[in-house]
Amino acid sequence: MRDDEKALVARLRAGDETACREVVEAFRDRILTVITRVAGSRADAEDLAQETFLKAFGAIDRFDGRSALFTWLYRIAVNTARDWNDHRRRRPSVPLEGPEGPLFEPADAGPSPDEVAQRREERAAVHRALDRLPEPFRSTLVLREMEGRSYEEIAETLEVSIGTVESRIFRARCKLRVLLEEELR
Amino acid sequence: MTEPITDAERTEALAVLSRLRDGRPVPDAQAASAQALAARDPQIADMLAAWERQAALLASEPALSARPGFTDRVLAALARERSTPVEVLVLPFVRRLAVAAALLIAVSLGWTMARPFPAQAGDEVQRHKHHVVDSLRRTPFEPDDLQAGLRARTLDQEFNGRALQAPR
Repeated sequence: MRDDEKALVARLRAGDETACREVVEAFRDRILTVITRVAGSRADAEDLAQETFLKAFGAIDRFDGRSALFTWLYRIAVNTARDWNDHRRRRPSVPLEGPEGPLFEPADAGPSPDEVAQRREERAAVHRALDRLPEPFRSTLVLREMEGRSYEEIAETLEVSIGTVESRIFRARCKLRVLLEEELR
Repeated sequence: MTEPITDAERTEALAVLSRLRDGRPVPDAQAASAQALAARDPQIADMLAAWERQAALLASEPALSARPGFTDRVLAALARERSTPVEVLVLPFVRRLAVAAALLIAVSLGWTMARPFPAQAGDEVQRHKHHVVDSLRRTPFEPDDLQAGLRARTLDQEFNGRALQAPR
């Protein structure tokens, strides 16, 4: 842990509100993005991101400094999103697409209308397929393919071995291919 | 003629190719064997193409930004949480359940220990006491004498021991 981060953690432990604000402002977008991707719901992502920060501030005394503060926050965010996802799956399914279309709209002005429509359909299909991908494959694949995390970082975030990460990524890719083909049929 | 590729070989090759795709270290021989299989098996080639396509779709998702006021909402929620007077109210369900179970055990243990109970053994035990203790020892301070105990038992009327005596 860097010296400036140590100082920040010390201020968080002392209950300094300015330190909390600094942490939220520094990491909110990355936390929100990973939560949306793991949970598959933009509508609930801000609530879950808020819950992540509250959990982190409440448990800051248990942060041992072996990893960077962001890695620790990131782990809490992924676990919060996974827990929410488990809970959601026990209820009737929630569509991944809102009334305004897929969750993530591409800011792309190049291709023809047909290409745009096809890409939009593919993106919607990949989201539906990803939503059907069971845990722990979903979060592992999200961390690798969407977040671009290394195997070591994924292992640290999900608290599993590198071998487990390798196996999950391989199986997730195979499963997602089957699900995606079903969605595009 | 080339041997047909089995499902197990295909799966093993794909597992290796998945690791190679992400730049993971793989022994040279294993990598070469997997790549050779990929070159002659259309199913493996299809799978690799599908992985490329789905990875491109997933990676093209843009990052998100929090809506204005997010930080203030988090800090307001933090302030509310910190001002909650009784901590037990915010305990998660499982912890509350554990606290309730511990209280229940403590109360039932206290009630059991406080109950009056007879200091003497029951009537049935009292009736047979001399068979098991007194007949074995003439006084309470001597060691058990099994022979004496058995002899006393055979003479015991309640045990119908007389029937066992040899005729005189």
